[in-house]
Amino acid sequence: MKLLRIFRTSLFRYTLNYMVGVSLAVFVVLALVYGSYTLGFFRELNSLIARETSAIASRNASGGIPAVSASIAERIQAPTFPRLFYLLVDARGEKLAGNLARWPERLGPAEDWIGPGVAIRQWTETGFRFEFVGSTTVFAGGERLLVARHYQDITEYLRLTLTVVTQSMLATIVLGSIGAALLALLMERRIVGVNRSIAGILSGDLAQRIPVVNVNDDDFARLIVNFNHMLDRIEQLMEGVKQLSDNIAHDLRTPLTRLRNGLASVELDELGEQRGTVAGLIEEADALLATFSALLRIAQIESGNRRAAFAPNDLSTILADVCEFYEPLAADRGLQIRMRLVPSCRAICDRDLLFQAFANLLDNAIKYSPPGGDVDVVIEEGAAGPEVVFADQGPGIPAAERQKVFQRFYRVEESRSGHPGNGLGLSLVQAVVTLHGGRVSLSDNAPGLRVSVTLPRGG
Amino acid sequence: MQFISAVRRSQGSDGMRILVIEDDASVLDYISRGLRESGFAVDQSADGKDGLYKASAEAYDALVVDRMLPGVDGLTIVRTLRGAENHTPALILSALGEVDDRVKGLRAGGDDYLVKPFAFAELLARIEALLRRKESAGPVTRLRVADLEMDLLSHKVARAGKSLNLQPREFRLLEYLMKHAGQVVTRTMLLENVWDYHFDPQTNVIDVHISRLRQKLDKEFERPLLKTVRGAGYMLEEPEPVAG
Repeated sequence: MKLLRIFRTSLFRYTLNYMVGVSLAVFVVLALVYGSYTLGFFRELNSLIARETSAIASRNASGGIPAVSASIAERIQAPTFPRLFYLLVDARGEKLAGNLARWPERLGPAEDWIGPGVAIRQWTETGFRFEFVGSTTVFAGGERLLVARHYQDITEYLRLTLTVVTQSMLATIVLGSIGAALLALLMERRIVGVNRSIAGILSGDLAQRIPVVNVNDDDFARLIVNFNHMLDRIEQLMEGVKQLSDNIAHDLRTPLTRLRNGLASVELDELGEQRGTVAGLIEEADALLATFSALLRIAQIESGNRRAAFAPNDLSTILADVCEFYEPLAADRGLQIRMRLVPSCRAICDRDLLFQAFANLLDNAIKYSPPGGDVDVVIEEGAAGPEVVFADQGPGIPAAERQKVFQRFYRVEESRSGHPGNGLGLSLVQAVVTLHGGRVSLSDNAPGLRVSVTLPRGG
Repeated sequence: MQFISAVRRSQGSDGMRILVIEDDASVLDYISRGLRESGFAVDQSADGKDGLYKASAEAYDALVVDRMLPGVDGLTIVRTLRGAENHTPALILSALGEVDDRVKGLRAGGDDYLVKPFAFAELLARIEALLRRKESAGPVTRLRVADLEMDLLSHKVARAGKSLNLQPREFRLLEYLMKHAGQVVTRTMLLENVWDYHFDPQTNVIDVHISRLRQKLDKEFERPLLKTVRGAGYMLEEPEPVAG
């Protein structure tokens, strides 16, 4: 459905809009041409009739009505084109000269101009069923002169012009649409490549750049060059963030460790009553260090370029290892881990990070399960890729809080008091899954919590 | 056939020489003091160039190398030594502590990788494991600690002639403990070597695994073999003779 995609491109829409505008302009121009043609033809027609009338009428001054009659006869004899019609009648309406039998019925005696299509439509006396324009003149003795001409040829000519104008419009629209589609296709070709590169970069490969295909320095090539510069800049900034977090790790964790180790080197046995205090302080320092490590770890995973350890692995094996690792803990709490795994489920992943993420999820499921409850661990091949599900029968998480639990240090209110934890477990899970291009979602297991991790197909 | 039996730490590390290359003076001091108290001879170096010179000029039993160093960085030191066919066990220290760096560190030729901050007990346990690895290069088919015997070929374990029924993972756990008998084995070392994952368990699941193993191992016997070392980890050890 490549063609459909072209119709959806912005360039096609843009070109189409442009074409509609051009068509409108062409329409206006052609309408003007048609109008001025019509006007010019009839002006020429009227002036011809006026010239003939005045030429004939001028004979009246020198030779009276007989001279007028003679002039008319002369003109009828002469081979002229276009053919004109003349009629001279006396005051009583009797024909004196001309190539018409009698005065048109519906034409009054003194009407001067007969406009096109107004007066003598279907004037059958001439043997034609055409429309005419004409001019009448009344002489002193009551004689009346009519000079007329049909304009069928003009009408035909105008009709032809109208056909040409309409066809030009249609050709403009059809050729314009084809041009728009071709232009969109050409641009689409270039943009698809750029989009693919950007998708790769977004999924974490920041070192990738968009290839500049067109070597001649057109605007598109310059756009790509600028975009690549922007990526260089982003990479520098990311590197800066990483440097900063590395420095925090180096500068703060080391003194914290010294503090912790200093406390640990105190001989607890010689302390007597203060022994508990020092042991407590060591635990506090350890917890602080653990939180600090977890934060740095999440930050580094989220920076998105931690992919050196990505390799083809079997998700089922990793998941089975996690379950086996936690089985004694579950058994101690009277819980059963029910596994439903597919035999082999390949994925390109960092096995240590996925183990950590699955361990965090299973740890939570065990921690919040009531004694005797079951924890379900399922892996399925979904349409988009493997889906890993952890479902417990614990208190669950209210729908309103389900997105918030992924925030750093966020803990569901009821769990604060009852269960240990630093509120970073799910943040880490999300960071790991996002790094793998997957998604974590929480839903109600009725009762309990159902965590679903979908990963993209791979390997 | 080679037997490994429990060795007292003081005997094992006597006279062994360790070079510590670390630019942070207080960490350098902390590590050196700890190692000397544990019976090692320690040389110090505060920058990469000097460290690389010392490491290639003299024979050490093990190296402790910080990753971020002025002059020549830690990975380059190890890579250079390996390039020169110097295979002294090297433990790389780093404040970064991520798998990427770990992978880079091990690819450069490091034998183990430890993330700052660390407890000294963790460092000591890992150094002793490195030294032991160097000692026992030959293939081992049977392990013995006191009256506990393990046959690695037939996957059988017996204590005082009485066969123990272990799960596969319990077998690997005990195998690792027996191979490092007399040494402190930390929880992260167990995770890395028995489960083969590098991660940070939120709850102390390892303790549950250990207590299960202990049930099978020591329950019916008067003198326990598997001990908990407070603040560090576990140790499988030949019990002290009962006094009197």
